[in-house]
Amino acid sequence: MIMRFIIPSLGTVIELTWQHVRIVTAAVLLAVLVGVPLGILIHRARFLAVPILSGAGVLYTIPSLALFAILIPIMGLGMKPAVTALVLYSLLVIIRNTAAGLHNVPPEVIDAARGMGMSSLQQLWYVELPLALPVILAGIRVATVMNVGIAAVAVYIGAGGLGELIFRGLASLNMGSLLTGTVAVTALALMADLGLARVEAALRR
Amino acid sequence: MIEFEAVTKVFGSIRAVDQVSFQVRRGELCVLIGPSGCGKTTTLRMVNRLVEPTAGRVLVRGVDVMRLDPVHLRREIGYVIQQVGLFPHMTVEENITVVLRLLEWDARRRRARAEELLELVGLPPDFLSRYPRQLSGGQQQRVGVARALAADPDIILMDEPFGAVDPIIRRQLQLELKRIQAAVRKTILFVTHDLSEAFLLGDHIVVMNEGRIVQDGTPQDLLLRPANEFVARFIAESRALGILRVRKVSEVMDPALTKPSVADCKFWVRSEDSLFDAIRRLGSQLAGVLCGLEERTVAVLDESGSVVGCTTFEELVRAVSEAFATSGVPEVIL
Amino acid sequence: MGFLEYLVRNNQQILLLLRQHLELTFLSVGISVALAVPLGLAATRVRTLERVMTGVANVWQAVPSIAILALMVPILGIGFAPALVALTLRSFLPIYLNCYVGVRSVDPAVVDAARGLGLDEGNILLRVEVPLAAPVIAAGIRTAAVQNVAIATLAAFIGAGGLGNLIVQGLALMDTARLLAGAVPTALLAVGMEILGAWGEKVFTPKGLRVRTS
Repeated sequence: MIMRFIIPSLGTVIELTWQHVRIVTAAVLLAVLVGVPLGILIHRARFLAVPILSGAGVLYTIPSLALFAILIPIMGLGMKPAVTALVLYSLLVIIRNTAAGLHNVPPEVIDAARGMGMSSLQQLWYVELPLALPVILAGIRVATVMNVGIAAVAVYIGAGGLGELIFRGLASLNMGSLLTGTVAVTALALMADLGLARVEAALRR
Repeated sequence: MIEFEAVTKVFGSIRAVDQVSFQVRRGELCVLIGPSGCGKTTTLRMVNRLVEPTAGRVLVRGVDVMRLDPVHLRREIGYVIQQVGLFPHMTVEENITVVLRLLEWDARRRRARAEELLELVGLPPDFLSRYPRQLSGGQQQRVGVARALAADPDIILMDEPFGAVDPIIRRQLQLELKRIQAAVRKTILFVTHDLSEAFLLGDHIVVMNEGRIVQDGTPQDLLLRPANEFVARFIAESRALGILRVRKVSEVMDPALTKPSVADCKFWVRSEDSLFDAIRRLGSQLAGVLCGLEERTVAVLDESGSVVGCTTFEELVRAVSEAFATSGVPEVIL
Repeated sequence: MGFLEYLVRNNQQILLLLRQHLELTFLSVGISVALAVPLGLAATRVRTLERVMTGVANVWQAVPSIAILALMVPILGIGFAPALVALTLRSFLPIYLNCYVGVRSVDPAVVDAARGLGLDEGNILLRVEVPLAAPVIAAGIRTAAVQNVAIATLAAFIGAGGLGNLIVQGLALMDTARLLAGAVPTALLAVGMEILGAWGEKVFTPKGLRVRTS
C-alpha cells in the first residue's frame, strides 16, 4: 500500500522529507546556539540554574500545538513559529545536558588547565567543552528525535514537512498517504537517533 | 544443630563449594574463614536456602533443608549481612518487627520486643521512631542484629556483619556480640575474612580455600597444629604471638618430683599463665629484685661491643606488651 | 475581541472542552496504570530482556503522537474512543518501564535481607520493593500524564473534542481570539498537571526516603 502510494508521488515525498529535515535541522542548530551558552551560564553561575531551568521546563511542558498557537499572533504562520516553538522545546534538554556535561569534567583537569595559564575562555574552549561534548551530544540527540515528531504537526501551521502526508491521509482517509507519512517520520526519527548515537559513541572514545 | 554432608555447589562451570562437610554444635559460634572467593558466603547461604546445594545435604536441626518450606525455615533463622539491608522506608521499630508482623504478633507485644532488643544491642529506646538514614553505620548494624534476633531464632547466620564499619566501631561491635552471645547462647555461623575477628569470636573455626575445607577445629588447633602450608601461611602473622598466648607454662614445665619451696627460688610463675604472661611476670619480678636505677638500666651494645644507647627493664617489657596489643591477637584467653 | 473576552463569552463551551480534555487524560492514564503497573511488576519476577524492552520503547516513543492518533481512524473511526485508545497506547510504555526499572533498582542488599528474614516473594514485592520504587513509579505516571495532556490536544484532529478543538478552529478561521482561548488554557492545564504530578511524587515517596541523613 505504501509503495503504491509512494511511487507516483515520489517527488512530493522527497520534497516533504527535505522540508521536514530543514525545519528540524534549523531548530536544533538554533537551540544549540542558544542552549549551550545558557548551559555554560548556569554551570558558572549556579544561582541562575533554578530560574532558567524552570523557565525552560515550563516551555517544555506546554503542548506543542498550544505553543504553536501562542506564537502565531506574534509571528504569523509558516516556518518561523514552527522553528521557534521547536527551539523553545529543545532548550530544556540542551541546557540541562550542557550543564551536566560541564559538571562532570574532572576538577583536576580544570586545575591543570588553569595551572598552565589558560584564561577562563580558553579553558572552556580547549578543555571543558570538548570533554563535555558526549553529554551535550546526548541532549542534542534527544532534542532532535523529539523535534522530528513535533514537526509532523507543524505542517498544520503552514511549515510543510512530512506531516502533510499524515494530515492529508487523515482528511481523505487515504491509507497510503497516512501510512507513508507515519513510516517516513518514524524512520527519520530513528535514523537521526542512530546516526547521532554513532557520533556520540565515537566521541566517547 | 547445623550439619553439612558432602555439600557441593556449582555455578555454571565454577565449583563454588566442593564436598564440604562440617558440623556446628548447639550454642557454638562457628566461624567460616578464608580468602575472598573461597566459598564461605555461598556455604552460609545454603543454611537458609538462599542458595540450594547441587549435591550433598544441609541439615538444620536434623532435617534436610530441601524438605522444609524455605520461607518458614528463614523465619526461624536470623540473618545479618555486611551491607545491613535495613528497609529505608521503615522506622527502626518497623524494621525490627518485620517478621513479627508476619507472625501476627499484636502491636503491644511487638513494641515490647522491639524495646527489649534495642536495649540488648545497646541502643537508646528513642531510636525506635528513627529512620535508617538517620543512623550511623555502626548503629544501623546493631539494628540489623536486633532485627535478626526478633523472632528469637536459635540459629543466626552472619555474613561479614562488621565489615562495613570502621575498625574502632568494629571492635566495639565484636565485643558486644561476644557479650550478647554469652548471655543468649545462640548457635551462630559467622563468615569473615578477618583472622583476629575469627580468633576473638570463634569457639570453632572452619578454614576454607577454593571451595574446600582446609582445616576444621578450635582456635588452638589452628595455631598449634595448622593442617597444611596454606593454613600456616594464612595465620602466619598472628601465629608466633598467638602461640605465646596459647601455650601455657603447665605445658612446658617439668613436673617436679622434688618440689622446691617458694623461698628457695628468686622467681615464680603460675602454671596457668600463658608463656607471654609468664615472661611479663618474670620481667616485673626481675625489675623488683633489682633495686637501684643502675641495676634496672640495660646497656645496648652494637656488634663490636661499644655502647650505643640504653634502656630499662620496664621499657622492654612495655614494648613487648605493646607489640601484642597491636598484633591483633586478642588479650582474651583463647 | 481579545481571547479573554472570548473565554468569558463562551465559558460553557470551553468548560465542556476542558472536561473532555481532562476525561481523555485521566481515563487514559488510569487505564494505563491499571494495565502497566501489574505487568511491570510481574516482569520483575520473570527474566525478561531489559535491553529488548528499552529498544522497543525507544522505537515506540519515536513514532509521532499525531501518527498514532491518525492510525486509529481506519480501525476505530473518529471520536473519543479511538483517541482514548491512542493515548492509552502512548502512556502505557513509560509507566510499565518505570515500574520495572524502579523495582529493579532497589538496593539488592535490602531485598536479600528481606528474603533472608523469611518474607515470601509476594511480601517482598509489596512491602519492600514497591514502596522503595514508588518515587520512580510516580515519576513515570507523572510523565505519562503531562504527555497525555499534550496528545489530548492533538486528539482534536480526530474529532475527540478537547481544548485542541479551539486551536484548530482558530487556525481554520484565522481567529486569534479563539486560537488563544484554546492555547492558553491548554498550556495552563499542562503546567498544572506537572505541578500536580510533582506533588503526587512527593506524597508517594516513603517518609524514610525523604528524611535527612544523619
